[in-house]
Amino acid sequence: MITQNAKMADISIESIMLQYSDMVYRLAYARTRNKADAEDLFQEVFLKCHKANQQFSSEEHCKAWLIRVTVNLSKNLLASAWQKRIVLKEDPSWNSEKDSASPPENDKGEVFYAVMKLPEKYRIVIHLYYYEDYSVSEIANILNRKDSTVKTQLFRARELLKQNLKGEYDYV
Amino acid sequence: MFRKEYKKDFDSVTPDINLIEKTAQRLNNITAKKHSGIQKRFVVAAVTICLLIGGGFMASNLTKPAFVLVAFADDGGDQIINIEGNTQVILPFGKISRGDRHFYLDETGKKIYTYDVGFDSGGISVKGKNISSVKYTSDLGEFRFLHPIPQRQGDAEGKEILTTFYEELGNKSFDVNWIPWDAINIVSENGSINFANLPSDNVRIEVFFKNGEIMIKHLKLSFNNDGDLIAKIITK
Repeated sequence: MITQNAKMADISIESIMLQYSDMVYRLAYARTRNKADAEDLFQEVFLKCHKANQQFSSEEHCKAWLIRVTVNLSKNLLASAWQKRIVLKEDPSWNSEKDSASPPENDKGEVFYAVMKLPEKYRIVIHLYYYEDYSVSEIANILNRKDSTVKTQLFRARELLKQNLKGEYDYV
Repeated sequence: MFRKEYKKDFDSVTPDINLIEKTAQRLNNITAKKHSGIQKRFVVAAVTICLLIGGGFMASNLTKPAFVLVAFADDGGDQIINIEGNTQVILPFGKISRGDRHFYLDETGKKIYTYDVGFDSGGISVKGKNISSVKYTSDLGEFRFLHPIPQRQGDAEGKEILTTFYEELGNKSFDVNWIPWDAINIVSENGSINFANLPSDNVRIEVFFKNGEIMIKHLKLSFNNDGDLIAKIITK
């Protein structure tokens, strides 16, 4: 466990990786929807962390930094994948990306599949809000976005989820 | 409850132990390489220090306050370039791209089409000695400074921000993100797009030195056809 006010110099990169491996991998998966890409991204994030030799002031600082780097690095990965595709999809569907993605996990509920069908920008805010329990302003700070942008993205994501989910859910 | 269901589904998404071991191995390899390079770097550093000491006497009375503008990618600090002279340079951040097209329904039920927008985050900074603060002003974009230590309460954002020197950050005290909201909004909207036609931004960088001197540089930021962010120092 990283203690408050500890610095990265005092903590090995291996310890950071072990502590945040699940968090980074889940975010990478939510972003890429693809095991192979998520694994590539996972490695890149911790290599960057090691090279940057960033000084962390707290666990929260370390976690926020890793989230930001995961999202930023995934842009390169998504951009290169996107450039290989020519056809733009009007109706985002996880199933429509079968060619480039691993088969969906078969032990998940409808919520998982519905979120995976959302556009990428919505998946990230949904994941940070509902899985990592960040507030709107915390997400805005981490992602370098305006509060209003994050609020709008959450709103639109929920609207899409309501259209796609059979069950009635409380989105608090 | 949505949150509970989502967490339950995602709890089982975990990295394989093989992935963790493979990553640990790559980290170890880098560490080993770093250690083998220390001796060589020490020699280079020692030579540099000797040169600085030798030239210091002559330079001390001639050196005027000066600074260099730099651009950095927000991906761990590997990519930093100087922005100098009056030629255009492609910056290591700010590449703008268009992703998938989507739609949502507005209040009237009408389909509104939008595009995902990729923007590689990063920013600009100044490097130099005896700088006490830097004021950045943008015509169209927005600057953001986030202090890496949240407790320092130094965060700022807006079209004009003032960054001050922090001992613990050194020259990184003046690193600011630049975000072109206008360009991002245009790229997200429906319709064809030519990145080179996106609005360019004029940025003013005002550097305040500890001896009271002030130096100003102007920068024009624009995009090329490929969406790369281009900078050019403007002489006024």
